[in-house]
Amino acid sequence: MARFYKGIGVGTHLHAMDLRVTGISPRMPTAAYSVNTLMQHIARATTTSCCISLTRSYGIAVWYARHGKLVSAPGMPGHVYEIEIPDPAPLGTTVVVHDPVSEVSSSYPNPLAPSFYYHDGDSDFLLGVVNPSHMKRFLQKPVMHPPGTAATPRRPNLSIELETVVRALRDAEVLAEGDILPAWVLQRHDVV
Amino acid sequence: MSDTHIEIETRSVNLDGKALAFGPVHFVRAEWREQYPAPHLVVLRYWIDGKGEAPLGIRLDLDKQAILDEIDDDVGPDINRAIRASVVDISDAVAHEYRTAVRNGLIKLPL
Repeated sequence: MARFYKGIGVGTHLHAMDLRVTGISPRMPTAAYSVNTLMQHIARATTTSCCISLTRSYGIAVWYARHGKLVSAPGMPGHVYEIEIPDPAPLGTTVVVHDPVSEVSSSYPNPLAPSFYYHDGDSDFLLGVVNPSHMKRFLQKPVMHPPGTAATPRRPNLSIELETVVRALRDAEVLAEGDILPAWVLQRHDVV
Repeated sequence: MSDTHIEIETRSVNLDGKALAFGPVHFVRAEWREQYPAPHLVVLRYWIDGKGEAPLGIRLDLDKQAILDEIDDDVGPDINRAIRASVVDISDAVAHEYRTAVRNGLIKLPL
């Protein structure tokens, strides 16, 4: 069984609950799932969906737990929960865990197709995608063209597909569609 | 203190004076708590006219340029929509104030 983590910041809607008792439900459980739902959730922070965000990295969960509607502090900790989802999920439960990297890449099965998730910038371009807050300059370098090519000056292509893959890898993130049962929430750690 | 001790600090930059006002809401500060100083996710603290500083803030994901929470102090949906629509300006203001604080030695980068 894989171990996942969820960081809960002070003052956010799940902070007041003990998820070992309540489990976790998505914010919009009746919404339909699609790859677009997944991309909007991860790349655009549209978290009002049928999915729950989890990470494989305790360090990433700590980072989210430190930043709620208040930053954490001694006496006012955020929480990181350890979660194990049985594989296969028990009968009667409907949770499905989606791997963003796998789902986005498999939606482009043909590398010969004219449209793809790759960028057309230089080798620094991905630094800007990973860390746009502080490396935005790498997103803004003009794209290069072969000699003799007439083209409108522009920045490299950055698709939502590439953003999703990069963000999912950065945050070691998966999405769980459906309810996470209380019995699967094993431990809670306080984080300041 | 051992060699592996990790110092986690709460850091902030002042946004007062950046004219980040949306109706009665005025953003005054961005706070974050990380081992390394550069923020990716911050808590925006704000004043509301006639009420003072709100006890809670809202989260801004600088990398996704997304506001993760709504202000629920009876300011109404139009104000929250206006804030979300200005997320690029707010993110730029936070990043600019962070760079200025580093340049002025107010936030120290690790060696």
